[in-house]
Amino acid sequence: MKMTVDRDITLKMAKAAQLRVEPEQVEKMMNSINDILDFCALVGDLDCSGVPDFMWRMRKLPSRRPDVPKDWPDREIFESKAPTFEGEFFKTPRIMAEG
Amino acid sequence: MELYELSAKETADGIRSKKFSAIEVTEACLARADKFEGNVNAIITLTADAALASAREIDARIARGESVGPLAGVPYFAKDNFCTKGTRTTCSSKILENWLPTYNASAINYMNDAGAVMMGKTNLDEFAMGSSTENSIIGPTKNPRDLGRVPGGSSGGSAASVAAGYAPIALGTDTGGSVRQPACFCGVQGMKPSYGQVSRYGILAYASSLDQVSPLARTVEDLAISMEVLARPDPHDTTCDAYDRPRFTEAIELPDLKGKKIGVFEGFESSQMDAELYGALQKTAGHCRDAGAVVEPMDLPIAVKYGVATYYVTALADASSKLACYDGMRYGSHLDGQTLNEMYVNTRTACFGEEVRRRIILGTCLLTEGFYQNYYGPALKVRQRMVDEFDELFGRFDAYILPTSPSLPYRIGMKETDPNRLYLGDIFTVPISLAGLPGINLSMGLNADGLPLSVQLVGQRYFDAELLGIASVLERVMGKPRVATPGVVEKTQKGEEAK
Repeated sequence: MKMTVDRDITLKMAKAAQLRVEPEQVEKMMNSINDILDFCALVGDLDCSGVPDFMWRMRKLPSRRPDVPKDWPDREIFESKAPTFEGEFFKTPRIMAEG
Repeated sequence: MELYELSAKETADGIRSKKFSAIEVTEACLARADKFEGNVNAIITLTADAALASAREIDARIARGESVGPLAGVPYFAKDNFCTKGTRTTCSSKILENWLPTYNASAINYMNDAGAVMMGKTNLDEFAMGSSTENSIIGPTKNPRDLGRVPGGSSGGSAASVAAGYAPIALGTDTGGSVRQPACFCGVQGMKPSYGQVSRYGILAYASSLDQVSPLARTVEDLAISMEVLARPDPHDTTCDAYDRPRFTEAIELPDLKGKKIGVFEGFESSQMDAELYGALQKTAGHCRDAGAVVEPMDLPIAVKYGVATYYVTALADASSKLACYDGMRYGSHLDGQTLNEMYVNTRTACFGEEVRRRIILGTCLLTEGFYQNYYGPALKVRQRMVDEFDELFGRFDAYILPTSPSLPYRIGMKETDPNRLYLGDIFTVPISLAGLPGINLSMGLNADGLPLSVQLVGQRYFDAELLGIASVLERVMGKPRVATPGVVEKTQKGEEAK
């Protein structure tokens, strides 16, 4: 069944995706989503009664790696990526407001 | 012949036999990039010093009589979505603009273990979302065969670097055609292996159920050598199959196509695609017949009608989930906010490009109540119907040929805005990805305007070696692509057009 989004749903989806859509961009984003939804509704047209959901099949499953701790060299690369690093610890802001 | 024009095999053989050194080859390729990169813009990060150091080490090992790998001294580039330890990996996105991975992708380790010399990281559409390599933090890559045109995408930088002679091999990733289509546009060979052949560990994912590491080269033999290096079990990737791979380089010794049944795709109206590309398909069918194959028409009604829609539902849903990890805390760029949520939103909104944001919101939408039942759920079943359609065909054919793209490379900036038309550009590549089949873009030379013509060969899942064998037979007839001279459109003489 073909579905569409309105301005409210567009903004809800953006929020769920941790993204902001500026008010002047909402219509463009909404139209773009609706174009794709319109095109992709085609997937509902094919009779798939009794067809299982797709999932990959493999010739031979990979073996699991042993679940053991390992040394991770090049500590300085990790440290260089942290905004603040002190001693052995990453530093984060003490308090963040809820929201 | 100049050193930068050699294939990977010729390069490795020459270095091993001391006809020339790895340093000489690396310097020749770096000089080539230095000469043309200002116009082509294929490289995001050039690692010249590290490449020269690796080349020196290969030369020293050979001088000491040590054994070296099959790609010893062969320069290669990797798309900038492969993790490279200590070398920035941007995915062409502001959100990873200065991100330094702490480990190598398995594919990078395999190439390095084989002695290949990494030259740098190539341009792509941001997070591999695109088909033209115009959507990048460093700006568009230009097609070395005609600088006014796009190189295809998303692995456009890798395809352009091979076409322009920066290196004989490059690595890309193919999600819905992202290696085969740029190979087609730049006039080189490119192979998407079967899903599960090559480890995806260390690849920054776009859509995990579709992405495959895929080599580009100027010869089928180099694709086979690359596959022998890349395709192996990897305990770091549970989608990488553990079965024993065949020798890909032995498969390309196939003398002819006797005993093979090849299907020629005839399910698309010739008026809907470029006439020269349609002609290329018919010519290839003739070459298959001449080589001894039985050639018959075939159709893919479900894949052609439903493939693109199924692909976009699947890929966008995958992408919205995969890209949730870029939150301003764990990787890359970070923008402050008054709250944790505001920080996430500020970072993601400012640092993802418009197309990426659009796809994430769409993917999020497709996975929510109501949309899931009407789009994602049906797409999973349609995908299975497509697999069944291919399976039925492979009961009758060993391989089949179809176009890679319905159009020749288009001009830079000619952005298609109608999504229905835009996405039809992927119509021949996405069904192959959805079914996990191996596909090879096989170059057929240039048209009278110097633009590349090619076809796509498709094989049964896990029959990658057999497909390379068929490609090698056809390449002997069609010829190998030559290095392009960016800025010079190679006009073919009448009667010398693509074979």
